[in-house]
Amino acid sequence: MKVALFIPCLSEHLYPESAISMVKVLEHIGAEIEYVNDQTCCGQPAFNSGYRKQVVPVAERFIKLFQGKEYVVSPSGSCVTMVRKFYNELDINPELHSARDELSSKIFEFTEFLIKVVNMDKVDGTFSHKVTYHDSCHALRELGIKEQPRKLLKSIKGIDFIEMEKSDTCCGFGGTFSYKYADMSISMVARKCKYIDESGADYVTSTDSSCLMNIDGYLRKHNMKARAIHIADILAQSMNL
Amino acid sequence: MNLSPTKTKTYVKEALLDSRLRASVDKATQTSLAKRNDKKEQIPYWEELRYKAHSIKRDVMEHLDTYLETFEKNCVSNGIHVHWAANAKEARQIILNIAHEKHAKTIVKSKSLTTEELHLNDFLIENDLETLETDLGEYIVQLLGQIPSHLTAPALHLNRQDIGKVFHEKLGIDYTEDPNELLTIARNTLREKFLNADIGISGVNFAVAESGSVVVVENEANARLTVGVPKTHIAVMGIEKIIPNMDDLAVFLKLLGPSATGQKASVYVNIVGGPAFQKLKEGPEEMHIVLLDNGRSKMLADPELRETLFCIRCGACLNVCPIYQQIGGHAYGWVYMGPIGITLIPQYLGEKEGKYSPYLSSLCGACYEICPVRINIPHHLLKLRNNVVEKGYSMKIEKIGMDIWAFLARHPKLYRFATWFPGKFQMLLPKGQSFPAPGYTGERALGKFDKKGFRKRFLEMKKNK
Amino acid sequence: MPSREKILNAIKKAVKTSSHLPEKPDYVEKEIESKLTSITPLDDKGFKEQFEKELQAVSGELVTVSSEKILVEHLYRDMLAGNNSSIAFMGTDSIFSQMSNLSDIQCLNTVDIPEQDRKATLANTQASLVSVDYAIADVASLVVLLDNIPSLFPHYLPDSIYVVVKPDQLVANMFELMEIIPDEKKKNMLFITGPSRTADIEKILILGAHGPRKLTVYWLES
Repeated sequence: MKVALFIPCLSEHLYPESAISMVKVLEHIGAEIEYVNDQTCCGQPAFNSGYRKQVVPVAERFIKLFQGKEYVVSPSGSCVTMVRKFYNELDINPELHSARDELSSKIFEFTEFLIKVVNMDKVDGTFSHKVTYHDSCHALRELGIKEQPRKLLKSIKGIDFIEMEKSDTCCGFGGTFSYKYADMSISMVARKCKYIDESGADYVTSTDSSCLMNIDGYLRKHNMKARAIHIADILAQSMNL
Repeated sequence: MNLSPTKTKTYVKEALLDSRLRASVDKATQTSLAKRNDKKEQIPYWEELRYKAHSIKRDVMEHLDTYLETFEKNCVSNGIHVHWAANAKEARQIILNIAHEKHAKTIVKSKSLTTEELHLNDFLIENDLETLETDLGEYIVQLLGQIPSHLTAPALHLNRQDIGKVFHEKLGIDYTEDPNELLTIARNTLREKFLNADIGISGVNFAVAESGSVVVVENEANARLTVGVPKTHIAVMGIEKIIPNMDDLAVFLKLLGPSATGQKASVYVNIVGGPAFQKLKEGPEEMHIVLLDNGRSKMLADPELRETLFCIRCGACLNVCPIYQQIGGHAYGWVYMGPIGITLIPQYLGEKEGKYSPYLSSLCGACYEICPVRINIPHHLLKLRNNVVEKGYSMKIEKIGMDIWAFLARHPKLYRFATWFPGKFQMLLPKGQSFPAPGYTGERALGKFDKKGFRKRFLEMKKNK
Repeated sequence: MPSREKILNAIKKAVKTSSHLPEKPDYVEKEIESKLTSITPLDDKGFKEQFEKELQAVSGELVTVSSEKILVEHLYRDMLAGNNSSIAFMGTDSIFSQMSNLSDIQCLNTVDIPEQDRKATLANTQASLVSVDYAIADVASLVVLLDNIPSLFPHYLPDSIYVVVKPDQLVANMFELMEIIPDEKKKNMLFITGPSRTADIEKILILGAHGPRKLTVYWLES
């Protein structure tokens, strides 16, 4: 099984370790990993801000770059949503429509890939910590990822998995929303972190580095106990990869 | 109350600092949400019903002209006078003319967001007509000179002390904050008005084309009294309120109660197909319907955004919205608020006035998930943001930034070079400090830029193997 | 151009572009039907229990009575317990004549009140005993067809409403109701589900907003 990596901007520049963890897990289950060298951005920040015209050539380039790959896997539900769902909203060159549609059926968020494609039903590892899961909005509502990551987490030996209150409430990141309405965004992450704190978890995990950056930034600044960790990191660490 | 969506950013900041407001809104939205979820659980075909409601509205919008003509024809044969108003000004004038013709002095009103759109109360009062809101929440906000802060719970932003204070000040009664006593005061004051008012003005939840009836849904019996007691009844409705027939009404009523107030069924469903006097020798001798366009036909022209006309004004998207839950309705700066409000504001008022509104969302999608008629609000917000940009109302500096980004994103070497900077620059910061990002940092730290980045790390990892 | 034509022309132009909106999945109708069946009670007893449970959930009360005589006895006691001394009847003539014999309650038959006095009289009457056309089991709604009654006031002006419901008036749900009623009669209806209420102050539920505070259903089994 050949897997091409799609590494979103935040993973490339801020959280490369988590992407490396993902690679390790994928290699561990026998995937042949390929890094598509000239990848840049999927275009989501510009798209979400309303700059569709600017996104079109970037999206077209992305489609061509990943054309013909067996699978494309990414450590971000949000960026996968951009490619799988929102590329349909763009005025993409009709010649690329079939490639776009094909890509949308080949691109997967990491945990979704493990469960849906690899049929992984348990993780053979140990992670002796109290962990709670934050549902990233795009992963949950656009891709329908809810049970998959929970199933994987709960199967890890030693893990104390707990649900926080309102795990499916937005953390307030929302891309450019986080600085356009910064006060609002902070107020939302404050509430999220209150629920995390109340759950008593050592770690809050999720499918998306963007939410985790937002959450971790608040937790640290306010000296709260929990730390944010990408789900790929938990999986890799639990298996000593 | 002079609100404008152009001041949304300021309103949001102010609302976030108002702990009383936040406590009221938080409590009210959480209560409504819990009740809604409980009732929804008792209706196993809920999700299917949402699809059905969507498809009914889809059909209505695609043939709205035919449905409106049928509705009009059936209304006329039921003895109802039908008026068409292209905009707010025309609608106000139609209503004033009826009031003058009837030599009216007192008007009672039951809750209608459409009339809020017309600023009808102020207009009628300026024209020397005593005009009273009769829904308890509406009555309270009217006393305060405010507009409703929620689609179905107009005074949700206030606590009992706020309400006790305004009753004391405006009605000259002894201060009380006991909800029962406050209600009794309002009930007694308004009962008198109901029995003696000349005109009752109501909104319309659904207009049934096949039967020529309007449907007014409520809990307090104030709408029953408004449409059933005064000699003249005027129903004001947006042209999108049409549904084809009574079978469809059953679908929408099933969805509306739980979504709006967490009830399986609202207390009163008033189905009015003509002046009651024709049948009962009591109540309205004359009934008028005002069909209001006011921008709706323009919204209909967009094959996607027309979905926002499906809204049945239940307010569920407000209750579930992590933003509304913290700021309430006035921060949005217009008659319609919350997730559905920010899709309507730029469409009704134009992209210039509504340029900030579609951005007041983290696009989390909880509104779409809860919407009883499946309006894909986050999807429409993305489109509306694009419209703001296309019309040239986004910030110049942002546009320049996006142009540069789009160029770099197509030139990977340059892109890598440009994104290499922050990582290097960060090394100059004191140890443990993260890169400062304007607006973003303050209450939260930004993640640290990695010196190497994934690509380098990955290639190194491969090399070492 | 008059506004009517202006609006209709704008709509006609607008609807020429067909919706880019998702269509209803094929399974929807069938699923609704089968799920609806799955929660519909199997026999009369089940329907009554469902109706009673739902009525209680909306703060209404159900009293089963086996004859009009027992109904009258209960009503009389309930009126006295609630300090009510006046009651209007509508569509319940034989009960009206039985109650009229009781001296300490003022009984009015709505049809006998002159039309021009009805509003004032009923606004000053404390209770009413009315009939309805249908009752809906799964939501405890009572259905009144305006075609079948002389007045609506007894349904919402008094503070306490007593309603006579007979078992054969019960329908499963609103979908069934709409199938049963002839189209012409559907044009003017009133559905009532419990006593009037508001939660506009801090979401605290208070019964008796601008209408009745109390709703009692007499389930008349004779």
